[in-house]
Amino acid sequence: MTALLEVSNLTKDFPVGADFLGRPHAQLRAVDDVSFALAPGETLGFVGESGCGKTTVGRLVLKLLAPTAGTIRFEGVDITSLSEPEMRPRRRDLQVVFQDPYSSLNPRLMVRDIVGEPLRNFGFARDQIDRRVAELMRIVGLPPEYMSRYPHAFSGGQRQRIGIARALAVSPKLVVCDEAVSALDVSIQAQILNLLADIQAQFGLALLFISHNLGVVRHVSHR
Amino acid sequence: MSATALEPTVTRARSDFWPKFRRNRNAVAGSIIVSFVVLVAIFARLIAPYEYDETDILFTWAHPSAEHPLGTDALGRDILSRLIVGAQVSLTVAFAVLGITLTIGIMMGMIAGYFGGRLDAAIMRTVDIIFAFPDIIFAILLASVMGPGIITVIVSLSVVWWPGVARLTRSLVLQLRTELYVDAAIASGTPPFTILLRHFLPNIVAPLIVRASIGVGFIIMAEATLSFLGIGVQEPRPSWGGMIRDGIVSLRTEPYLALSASTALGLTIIGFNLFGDGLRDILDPRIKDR
Repeated sequence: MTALLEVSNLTKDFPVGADFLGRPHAQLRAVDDVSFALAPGETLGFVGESGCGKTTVGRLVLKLLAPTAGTIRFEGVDITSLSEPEMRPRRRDLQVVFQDPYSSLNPRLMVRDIVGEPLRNFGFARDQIDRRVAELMRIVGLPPEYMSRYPHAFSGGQRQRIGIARALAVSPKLVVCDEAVSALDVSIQAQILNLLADIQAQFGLALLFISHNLGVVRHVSHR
Repeated sequence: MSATALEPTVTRARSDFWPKFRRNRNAVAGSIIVSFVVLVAIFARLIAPYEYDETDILFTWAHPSAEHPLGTDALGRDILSRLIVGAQVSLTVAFAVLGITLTIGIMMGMIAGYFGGRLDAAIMRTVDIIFAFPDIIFAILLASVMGPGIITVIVSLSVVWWPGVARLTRSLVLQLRTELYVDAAIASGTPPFTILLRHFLPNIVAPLIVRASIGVGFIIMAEATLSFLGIGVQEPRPSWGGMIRDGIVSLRTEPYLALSASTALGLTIIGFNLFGDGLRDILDPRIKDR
């Protein structure tokens, strides 16, 4: 069986400080020689203490950062060196749910436009988008009427559901959940985790679940 | 949080704008002056009692009277009429410069802040070079190279004013660059220019509006300066700066020309500055209600 996502020897250095010509004083190694593989429909938990580079791995997989060394293969294709325009069509299969449900939603856009953004990028028509957004709202357990509200009208847990709806919009094959429940209180955490598990069972997508909480990871992961 | 208790569709920033505006004395006073000047400028030809270039050689330097409420100038032209048409000239220049500099400045600032790297360095060094000259002196230099006229004024003031807009825009973009919704948009496959228009622009307009309304005061002042020096708007078209220059020669004996033009200029600038300050108090989230 071929892996959906295959990461090998991934390394990321960040420059620390700079002299007046912009040359860094030193390199900080945030991610050192990380390798893993993820099969379609599988959940991989990614645990570690704060500041150990988990989030960096998530951002590297999403190509929000460029790695210093190593390769990332998605569906067998090496995406490490793809330029952003080459990468864009592949982003349909690779979505993200962020940790902070406040900063991850643009306060000036209605929920309809936030959740519909990936759909718009991949060429859906207006009425298709509205129908799909309503469907997604139901999937994540929010009334579809809330579509024309702005993010400030929602609680943290509701916002995280909106973030999940956005990630699911274009039916991706892999969703990176970067501390997707850490900012929520415990009872809401359980709700969101169960929601993710249900969605995974229903749509068969793979999850890369990044968390510092071992209990959370044990709850969702296959291995 | 119960869903029924929530206010739908309107953002908070917008819903309490008007109550705050009404309570802010600067904003109210400024907006009264600004709307008065703008209305006068729009309907200048209808309001002005005489043609602005209608001379009367037998009736020069007339004192204020029922016929000429502010008197006449050295060529017997009605000062009030020239003042009114002068408002039109000033505001035309101001809004043309504003339109040009906001377009160029916001575009350059967003590109510099979002893409970074060499593009950023190239744009910001250009900005630094223009900033290195005192703005009025640089505008005078450009105007004297290009030759006088209203187009010259617009172009030279645009050249000195866009860097400020670009710098402000860039710093605002850098602040927003770390917001996760920007990363989410990239991960959703949104192209860069769509991200700039959809996610950045709506979140940075408030400070730019404040900057623009305060900038109008500077631009009107600079236009008057250029016209005062004779390298701005040319006769017979009236300009407040030119009228002050013509009037200053005979300030001791016939003060009406210089004084009325100066008063119009001063009031207009104060109006735009009050309006801009008021807007800043209202729109800046860091300034709380007193």
